[in-house]
Amino acid sequence: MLDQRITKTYIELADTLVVGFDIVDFLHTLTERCVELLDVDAAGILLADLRGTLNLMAASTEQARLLELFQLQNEEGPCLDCYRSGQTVECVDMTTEGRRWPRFAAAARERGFAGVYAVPMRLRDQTVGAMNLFRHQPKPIPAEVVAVAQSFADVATISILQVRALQHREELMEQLQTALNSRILIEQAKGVLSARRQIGIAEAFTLMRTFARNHNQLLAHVALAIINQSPEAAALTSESGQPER
Amino acid sequence: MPFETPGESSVDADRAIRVATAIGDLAQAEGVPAAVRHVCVACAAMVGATGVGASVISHLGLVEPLAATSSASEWVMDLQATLGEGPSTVALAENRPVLIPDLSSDVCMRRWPAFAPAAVTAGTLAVFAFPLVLGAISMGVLEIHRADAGSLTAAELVDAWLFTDAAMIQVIDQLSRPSSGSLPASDGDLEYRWAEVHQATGVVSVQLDTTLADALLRLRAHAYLTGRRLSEVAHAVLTGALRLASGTDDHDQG
Repeated sequence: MLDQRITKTYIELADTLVVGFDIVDFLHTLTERCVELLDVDAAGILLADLRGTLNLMAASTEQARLLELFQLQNEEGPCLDCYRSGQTVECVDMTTEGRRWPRFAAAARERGFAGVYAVPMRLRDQTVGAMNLFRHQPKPIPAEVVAVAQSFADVATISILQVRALQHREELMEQLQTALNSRILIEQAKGVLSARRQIGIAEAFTLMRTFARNHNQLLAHVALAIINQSPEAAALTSESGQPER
Repeated sequence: MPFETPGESSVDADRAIRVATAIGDLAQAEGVPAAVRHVCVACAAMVGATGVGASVISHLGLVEPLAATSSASEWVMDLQATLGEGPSTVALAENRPVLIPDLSSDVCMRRWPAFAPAAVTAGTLAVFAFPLVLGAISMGVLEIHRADAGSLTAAELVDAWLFTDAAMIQVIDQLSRPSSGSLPASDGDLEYRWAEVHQATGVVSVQLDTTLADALLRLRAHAYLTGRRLSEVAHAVLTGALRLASGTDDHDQG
């Protein structure tokens, strides 16, 4: 049963790996599938910038208290260790094994998480980021499930960096910077939309995603239309506008 | 596949520290807070440039030079602003780096018929322009100039990106720092990686009916004035605990 669903996810992911596919929407889909298929409670994808700072590209929920757990890991945590070592980091129970990250473990426990996993996002010999999985229960994740998580992380890496097209380091850097910048652009648009419609940030993002899918547009494109108050996004930004479902 | 191995990720982290240290040392030697001009001077030394300059987009949409390490650099920047063409113009319009290792090439002469010959005559053969961009906010451009033709090496390119990042943060700080008042607590440029800072920028732009750039400057200025971290101010805006006013008096609620 699980195998079938994972295969289905691969097909879904492969379908999106075509020209003009939306990287940001894709990464969110991937984190949501991780939660559905890998028996974890939250997932996030973090990409390192040129400074080695980890930037959150997508998360399974927009809950601010969860997002803080990803941000914290620029100081300490499984993602930072995973990014630096290029190896999978596992911590089944932070109450007993959390001493290596005192601040992070305390914050995670406070938010109801017991277990945490980080799998590397690798391009050849370089680690470009990490995929982060959280569990409420201190129960180990079976090795074969970790292997599936690693393959999801590999797909994410390939999609972000569009490896096939990459010939030079310049292009790699430019794609990294572009991906990171489109994430910032989308955050700005979430804020604009939430203030215009008097709705929460998470709801604003759901509206943007649905609108982008229904109109076959890139999320970054929709974000820019919201910020620039383009007519094409008028239905989305006007307070009387009906949310599209 | 021809692909230059970028090496271990920690190498980039070390470069980032070197870049930050170089800028900090220059500022400290003068006993002043780091500014855009320190970024330019440190960048010129580290990437082997004849000059480095930074310009910002003014409220009128004009590109105005903010700092330049040499008169030749200032001239190249002025030329582009005056003629309305050149690598920086493209970098700003398309929000991407424009790397020109040889301005005297036929392609460049045709592309920028007024700017290219003038810059070459003035002794600048290579121009590398990096936009100062944060999401939808396009603030200006950092330009690296060289008297000799030739590309940036992979390592120089990483440094150039890092200096561009630093220039971006300094431009925001320089524009939002109150003219009077004490030095703010250092909250680090890491905060610009926080989602809430950008979400709050969007919220404030609607509340004050202003551009994203102005909204970000207001958030940053408020952080300065109240001695709080930018991320704290952003969080307060998102929870509704703080609403910036169109004037100068902001309201903390509850």
